[in-house]
Amino acid sequence: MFLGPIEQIRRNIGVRLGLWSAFIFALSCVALLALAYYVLAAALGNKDREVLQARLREYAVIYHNDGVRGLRTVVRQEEGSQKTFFIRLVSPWNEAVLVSVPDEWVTFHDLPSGLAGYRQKIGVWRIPKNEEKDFVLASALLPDNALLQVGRSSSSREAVLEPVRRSFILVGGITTLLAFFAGFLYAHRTMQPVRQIVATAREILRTGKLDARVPTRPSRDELDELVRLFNTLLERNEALIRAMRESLDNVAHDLRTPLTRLRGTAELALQPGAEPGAAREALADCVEESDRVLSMLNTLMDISAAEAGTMKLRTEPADLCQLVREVVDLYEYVAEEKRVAVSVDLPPACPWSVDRIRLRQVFANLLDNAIKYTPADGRVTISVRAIPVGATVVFRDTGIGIAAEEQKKIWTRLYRGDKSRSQHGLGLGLSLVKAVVEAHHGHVAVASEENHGSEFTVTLPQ
Amino acid sequence: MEDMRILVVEDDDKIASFIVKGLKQNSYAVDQRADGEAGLALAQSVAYDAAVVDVMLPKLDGLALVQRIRANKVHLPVLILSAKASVDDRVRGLQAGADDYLTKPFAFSELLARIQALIRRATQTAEPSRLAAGQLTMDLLTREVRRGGALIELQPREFALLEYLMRSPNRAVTKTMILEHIFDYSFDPQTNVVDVLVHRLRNKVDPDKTMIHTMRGVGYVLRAN
Repeated sequence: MFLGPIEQIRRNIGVRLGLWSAFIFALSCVALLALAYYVLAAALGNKDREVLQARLREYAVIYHNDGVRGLRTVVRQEEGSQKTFFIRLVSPWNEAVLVSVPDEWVTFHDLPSGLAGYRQKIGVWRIPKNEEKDFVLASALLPDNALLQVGRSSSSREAVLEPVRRSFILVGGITTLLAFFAGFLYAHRTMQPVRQIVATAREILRTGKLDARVPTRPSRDELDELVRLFNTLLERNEALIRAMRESLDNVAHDLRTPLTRLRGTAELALQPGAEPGAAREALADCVEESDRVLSMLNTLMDISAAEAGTMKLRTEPADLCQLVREVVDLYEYVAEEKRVAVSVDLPPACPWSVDRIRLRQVFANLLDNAIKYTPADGRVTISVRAIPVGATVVFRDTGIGIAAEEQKKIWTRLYRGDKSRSQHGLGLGLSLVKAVVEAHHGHVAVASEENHGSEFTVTLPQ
Repeated sequence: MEDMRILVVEDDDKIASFIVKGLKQNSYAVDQRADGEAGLALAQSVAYDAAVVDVMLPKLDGLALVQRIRANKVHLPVLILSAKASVDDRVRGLQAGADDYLTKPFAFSELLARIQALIRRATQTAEPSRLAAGQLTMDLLTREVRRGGALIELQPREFALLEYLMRSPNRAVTKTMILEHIFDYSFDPQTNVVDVLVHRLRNKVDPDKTMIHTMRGVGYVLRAN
């Protein structure tokens, strides 16, 4: 990423856009000015042409009516008042019959080819006199083959157009420069969010600090949208990485206790003098304990994945009522043995889009708890209801209940209430329930009164 | 069962030796290789009845090994072993051409049961219509269970469990296998529903507790004597 200064400037979008806008401005300026210049020049020429051709026509008429004599009289009269036009009449034999030369035309030289040469140059043409003036000469062939010429001295086109050209170049140059800087500044300003994104990304890569964010602006253009999305992406990444780190720490921590138990059991059996029968017992303990560790590991991974939002849900059309029936069926014998009556209150069908396996696990955990904490001759009722915002599945029992101060803690991983310590279990069931239900964008709530019973409500959104 | 030959491709010494020992105890002939290429060479030159293949192997990984075996049209039932438990990994294993998939760590009894099922499927052993173990007889057509001639009334789940146990007498059946086979559940409920079911079945068919034994840490076994 280390570029030479030239390369850096070349890659700078501000400079590039500035140059482009300057180029386009300069191009349009040149086109515009060239057009104006051409129109002006043409207008100048036209004026001389019109004046001279009007004179030519006038003199041709006089010549036609009154001959050379009449024309000479008119010219003499005009010479008296104003002598601005060069007038010459050339006979068919190329002799100058009539010549009137104003003072300005003293320096005028005829063509090297002599007067006959003008017969080839019918029309109007300009002959430069000096820097400021031109001779403009119009020639016309008369019906008797005489050549009539009228000329006058006119301001040189150059003299008129030069200041125009100079000011055009000045104005054009300034405009182009302005266009470059304006383009550069505008592009620079526009590209600011992009530069900030680049800077933020560099900083994150360099320092590894995930909390860096791109500063936002109040405007709502596409680049601000980009900045906002970029920040959202960073936030999500940070949350995900933090959740993964935490869950890794938690899993490591949670596994230490059962592994310690496992190791202790094995070590005790290895003590010298241990009975062979006791060793077999210890081995069986070890196998059971390792199964517990495995089951705990799987559940913890599931909870972590669900909490971090990485649990893969295989959502498909399912029937909540059917899932409830399956779970009740699974626990039929368990409930019978405990003499707990399980009843259901279900609508005929409750089609819902869920991950069947995961949700069955949720229901199984809740029913498991309900039966576990309900004494003999108690009741567990499961009801499914459609509500405006979704569906609820309620597990109500007449069990020992949960103390008010414990109700918030039951969702915590590995939390075991005072009354549940004596029961078999990992202390992960409700955390998994909560995580899986929330992964379905639903929520789970508890209402309970000690010694009267508990009610767990799973709400699934539409 | 005498000359059933099984190929085990597993690079972890301890796991390999525990599988090989277990299979030999159950009177299978076993060859073991520690890398994919050696395993493939053997699979192509010897006629095996089944293969157990680990996914993570040196030289040629397990999935590629299965694909090569299938590409060569070798008809060999293959069971994949993997430490990865996600559904996607399972699907990938089966797509590669494996016939079954088992996640580590596993109970040996479960591995054995799955291998037997694979071989049974491949050889298509005729389905018996009657099962017998000790004093117990089961008629699979009329769904009657008798103990020494006396009819025993069983509920569907109890019947299914007894059938499952009687199909592999003297072999341990794990709780996971029962849960999957009888309840179609692939995860652990917290309360052991299997314990309760076995307890009920035992009360009905084996009140003096001589046949259905609990093997701590492993599962249950029906001793036919």
